[in-house]
Amino acid sequence: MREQEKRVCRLCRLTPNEGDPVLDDFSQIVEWVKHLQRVQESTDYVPVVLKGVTPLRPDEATSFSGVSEIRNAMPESRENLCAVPRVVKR
Amino acid sequence: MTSLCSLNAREIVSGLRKGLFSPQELFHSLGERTASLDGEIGAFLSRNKELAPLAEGPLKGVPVAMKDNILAHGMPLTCASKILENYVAPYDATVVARLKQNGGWVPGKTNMDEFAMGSSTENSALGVTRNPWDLSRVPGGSSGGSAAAVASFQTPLALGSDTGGSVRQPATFCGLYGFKPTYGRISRYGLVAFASSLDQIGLFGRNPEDISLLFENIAGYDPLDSTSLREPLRPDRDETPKNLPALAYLALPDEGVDPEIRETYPRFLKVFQEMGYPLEEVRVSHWEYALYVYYVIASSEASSNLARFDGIRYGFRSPAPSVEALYDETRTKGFGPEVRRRILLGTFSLGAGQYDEYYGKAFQVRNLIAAELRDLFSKYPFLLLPSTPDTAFTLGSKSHDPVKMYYSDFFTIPLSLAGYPALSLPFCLSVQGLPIGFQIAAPYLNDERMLRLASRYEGIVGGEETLKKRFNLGDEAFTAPPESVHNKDNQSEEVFP
Repeated sequence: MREQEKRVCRLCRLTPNEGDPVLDDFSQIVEWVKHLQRVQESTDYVPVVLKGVTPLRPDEATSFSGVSEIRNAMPESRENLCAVPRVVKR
Repeated sequence: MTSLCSLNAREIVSGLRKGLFSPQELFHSLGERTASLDGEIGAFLSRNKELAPLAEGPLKGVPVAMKDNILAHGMPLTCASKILENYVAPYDATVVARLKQNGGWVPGKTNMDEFAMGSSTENSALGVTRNPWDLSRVPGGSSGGSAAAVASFQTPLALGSDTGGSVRQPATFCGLYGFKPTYGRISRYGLVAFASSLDQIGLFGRNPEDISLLFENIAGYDPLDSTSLREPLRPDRDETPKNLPALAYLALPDEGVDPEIRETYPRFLKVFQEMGYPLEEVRVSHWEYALYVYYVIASSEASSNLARFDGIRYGFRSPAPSVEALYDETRTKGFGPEVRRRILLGTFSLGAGQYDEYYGKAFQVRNLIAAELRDLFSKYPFLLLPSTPDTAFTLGSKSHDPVKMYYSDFFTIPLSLAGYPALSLPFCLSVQGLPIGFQIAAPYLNDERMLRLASRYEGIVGGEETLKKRFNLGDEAFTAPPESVHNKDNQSEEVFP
């Protein structure tokens, strides 16, 4: 159990897949970003098609009280983000 | 009554208006077809057992299957994930509500890659879906269940969601038309969020006119979706200009495209030349970066959006001795490997040490891709290109190589990143008898214009007839002449004189 606890991601509370080639030291995403870094042109950071929905940093959003934080941080998108299953009385 | 399943949406509307059959007869005919076929195909996760009374409207009697990440009141909603097992939707998504208001109905919920993450529908926790053309192959994904249901004549129309190509790629693999509208044209209210800046509900049909009919009745502004566009629908009734503008077609990359698709591409382009359009080859210099941009951005957004699935609010809950352990156990056991992989990637990208370098850089390159496409569409009314680098692959052949699987969306992702409308079109069959399809993309809000061009294309290529022949429905097909139902005022509109 202690060994398993060590492997759980503190932010997203997930245990990585055993021997996952993509998650191995995150080498795959590091490789992708290396490719992106070759693109030198500077551009705006503003999203092109998105109005008001930008993922928050994990320390703001992916804690497990995160749902209300996401809603409060993105009032314009509140309804849409709540569109995913609402609390149902069992 | 088995031939009723071969009807397309316009024939259903027409046949019901003329009293040639009843909605109940259609309901039972489609149910019988599913009962006889779907054990092998696995398109549906759940079916409606009864037909509720239908509203009057331009879609009266038309069944539209829903991908299982779209909420339909009272029906199961699983996103093909263990973490939402036994969850029942408490309300209708806007698209479902509009479908019902216009007389349509939902025959069932279709299989998908878990939370729409995948390109083969093999990532479903509830079983794989097989390609109706060849049961040893995948139907594509993530909306593979919807594609398989339409291709096997279990429903004339279906909705899916397209985040990076999840409607266009399975439509191509199954020999269908698959339409991703301009981002914001169709409300996402009631679509379970995966990557909010990319998600768009898309449509599957066996012909473009069915897709137009459904699109016109479910699209439009929705105050419940803050990204919904306020621009009204513009059924394009302009006459074809005498001097047709040049169309752009994408130069193929040197590597990574199946030889048969590479050889077929010029024949596809020739169809448009024969329609009278001059063609000009174009290159999009940042296209090759789109895949990397997509997987950084989509994973990042997924890591935020899927934080809500914690074992407390709804769905699966793993017993555990503490709250922290409950979160860990529920999420690790409730999500499948691909979803866990992407959440972990996204959380890593958004980490304080990586945020600017990863997520920020990806968004910058996204803007460059969008700017380049904006420039392209300022010169050309349409862009022609492949939908997929290969045809439907065999089950299991890519599931152990996620990066290879990601490459399936090479031709669809850039258009998603920039929010442009795009439509995959069936073209011909490969040597192995598998569908080969291509894609058209258009400037923002030119959805209807693109569908009109596709209707002309279908008149030449005959994709629907090919499907009927494949499933032996051609001879016994119902032959009631379709009447125009595009015009809600019931004024006859001859679309292609």
